[in-house]
Amino acid sequence: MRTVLELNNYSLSFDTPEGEVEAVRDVSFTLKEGEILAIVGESGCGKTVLCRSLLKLLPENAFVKSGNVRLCGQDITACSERQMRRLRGRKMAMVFQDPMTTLNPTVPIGKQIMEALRNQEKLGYRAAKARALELLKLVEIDHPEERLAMQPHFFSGGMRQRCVLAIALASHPKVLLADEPTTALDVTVQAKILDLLLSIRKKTGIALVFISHDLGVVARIADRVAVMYAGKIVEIGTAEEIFYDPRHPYTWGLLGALPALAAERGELRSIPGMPPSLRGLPTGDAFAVRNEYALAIDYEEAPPMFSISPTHSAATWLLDPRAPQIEPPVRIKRRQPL
Amino acid sequence: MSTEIILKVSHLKQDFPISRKLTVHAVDDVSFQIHRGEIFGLVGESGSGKSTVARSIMGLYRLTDGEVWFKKNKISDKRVYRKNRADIQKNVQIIFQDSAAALNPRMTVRDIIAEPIQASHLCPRTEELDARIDELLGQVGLETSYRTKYPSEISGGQRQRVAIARSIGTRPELIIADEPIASLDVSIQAQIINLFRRLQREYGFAFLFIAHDLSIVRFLSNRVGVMLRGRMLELGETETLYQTPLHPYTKALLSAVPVADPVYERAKKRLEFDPDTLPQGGTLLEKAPGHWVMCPDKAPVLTGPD
Ligand SMILES: Nc1ncnc2c1ncn2[C@@H]1O[C@H](COP(=O)(O)OP(=O)(O)OP(=O)(O)O)[C@@H](O)[C@H]1O
Ligand SMILES: Nc1ncnc2c1ncn2[C@@H]1O[C@H](COP(=O)(O)OP(=O)(O)OP(=O)(O)O)[C@@H](O)[C@H]1O
Ligand SMILES: [Mg+2]
Ligand SMILES: [Mg+2]
Repeated sequence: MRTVLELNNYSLSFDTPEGEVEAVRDVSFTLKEGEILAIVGESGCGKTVLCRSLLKLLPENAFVKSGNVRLCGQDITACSERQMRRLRGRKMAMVFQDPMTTLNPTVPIGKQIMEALRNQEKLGYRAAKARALELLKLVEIDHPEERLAMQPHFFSGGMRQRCVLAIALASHPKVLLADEPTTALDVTVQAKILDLLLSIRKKTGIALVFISHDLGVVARIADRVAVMYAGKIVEIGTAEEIFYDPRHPYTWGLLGALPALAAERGELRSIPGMPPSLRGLPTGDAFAVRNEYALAIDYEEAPPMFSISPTHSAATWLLDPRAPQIEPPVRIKRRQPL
Repeated sequence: MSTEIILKVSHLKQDFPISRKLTVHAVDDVSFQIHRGEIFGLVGESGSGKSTVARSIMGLYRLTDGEVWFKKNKISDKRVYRKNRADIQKNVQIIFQDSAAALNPRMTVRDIIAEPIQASHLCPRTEELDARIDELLGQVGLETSYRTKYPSEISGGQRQRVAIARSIGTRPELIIADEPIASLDVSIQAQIINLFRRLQREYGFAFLFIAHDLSIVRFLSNRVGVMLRGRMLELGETETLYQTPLHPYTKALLSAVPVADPVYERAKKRLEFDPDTLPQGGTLLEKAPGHWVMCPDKAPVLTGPD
């Protein structure tokens, strides 16, 4: 399989009056054709900024500090706005966390989808309308015919989200960056949309970066999972490795906060302390102050990525051969498929 | 939880005429009540009318039909609403589904949170107000340094938490929370859910909690209602409803909850329910004490010639 997206030691910061905000720190991963990589992690850890920066859709005070990004073999780190405009949509598209950033509130949905379609290829009005209708049906919108003429604020939250997905899919991108694309959907519609993405992947080989807080959804759709904390990838592996054999204490914390694992005690478990602000990060491991397994060295030096298998690695000193052996506090019980 | 009813929605109907051919019956004869200190979960299909119920309660639409009562007052009546505006402003707060996106971009986090507190003339002294804001930020897991930020400078989940802090600032009696935590990571979700529970226990906050995450709804709610196509199909005590769902749509919904177990999840079979097969009429019947389910109206018995 060809590699379609590759990040090497990519770091990006914001320049603010109060100092530098290190939103993305030393991120590396590759994404192959037809592969689905989920990114999970703390709110505010840099997931959205990372994706927006790949498309160069960030305010002026954002700057790339180091590293590079390759899209379908081409180094796009230094691409100009004009060059980016040719890549956006066709090569790489994004579904934004908040649908209203994509949708124009005063323009009917149908018109917006048709515009997206006609940006990609020469299409007559009728052909574009037919395709728009098809797309709305594809994402399970009822009464698509009548809805074409409706403005976004007459749609429910989940319908808007599906329209945005329809627009992104309209341009047949090689890579789709989907930022929480199913959060506003009920579980039955969500399951259909996930199945739809899986079947499109099978047909077209589209690669997905799928950001989600819902670990159940991640379990359903992801081939690989990257766990982010304070701008860094702290653990990455196949879905099986991350769910059944997590190694980073932050990953343990995330899995331990699931209601399924905590409900009996009457109180959900959350990771103690607060996520760090990305301004003036401490030396050493940014997670150390919240990590009950932190070692002395965590406060002095940031841990490197330790490799556990060819596909699995994690950045925690607990994986150093000199570190004490620790039994992870949570285990996902593997169920028998029905 | 007390027996006092804090919110009563009865036979609520909300139509939206879209075109000559189509009128969306967004909410179609929905009734439920919430007791003081109770958390009522509302779940259902995307587009089934949950947010419309929330907005109708807040008086944002002229109701097509039905009534909304807050405590002893019929607030769906505009005159009654106006007479009780101060009480409603302080004691009913809403977290809109898109509240994170709807925060005023020209206000700082501090001013956004301060606004409802000031509108209700709580914390008249600046020091008092600032201390309260710091306390609220802490409760939603935000460092106090976020006070000076503008919405565009913080992440989606951080904005959502600002919206939550804003809604609890006046210690309201009822919070209408429309998808308040979907954009938060599981650890902060847990923190917010624990906070809601504490507010319920310690201050007797009641919640209308709208969410798609059925495990969270199960954990948090005392009772749950299930909506589809504008109608309430099933309503009952949380554990009863989760353990013995009666309506086929509820069963389908519960079977589709994704679980954090990749091998299981990929192979899982879901129960299907086609909303188009839902019969037109129907009546909500009490099948067991407190457990209501939509049953098709009995077809008129056709008698033969003899
Ligand atoms: N324009 C900006 N200027 C300064 N800092 C910013 C700006 N935009 C984002 N940030 C900061 O960058 C960090 C990463 O934000 P990002 O939106 O990527 O988080 P996220 O991981 O997507 O979180 P969530 O899950 O809440 O959406 C946040 O701490 C945020 O405060
Ligand atoms: N102002 C409006 N004008 C016309 N139609 C509307 C309006 N508001 C909502 N609708 C329609 O009413 C129906 C119910 O929408 P609502 O937003 O209440 O759904 P929901 O249950 O909150 O869905 P979701 O889970 O996706 O947020 C939808 O078909 C929607 O298109
Ligand atoms: Mg985000
Ligand atoms: Mg809604």
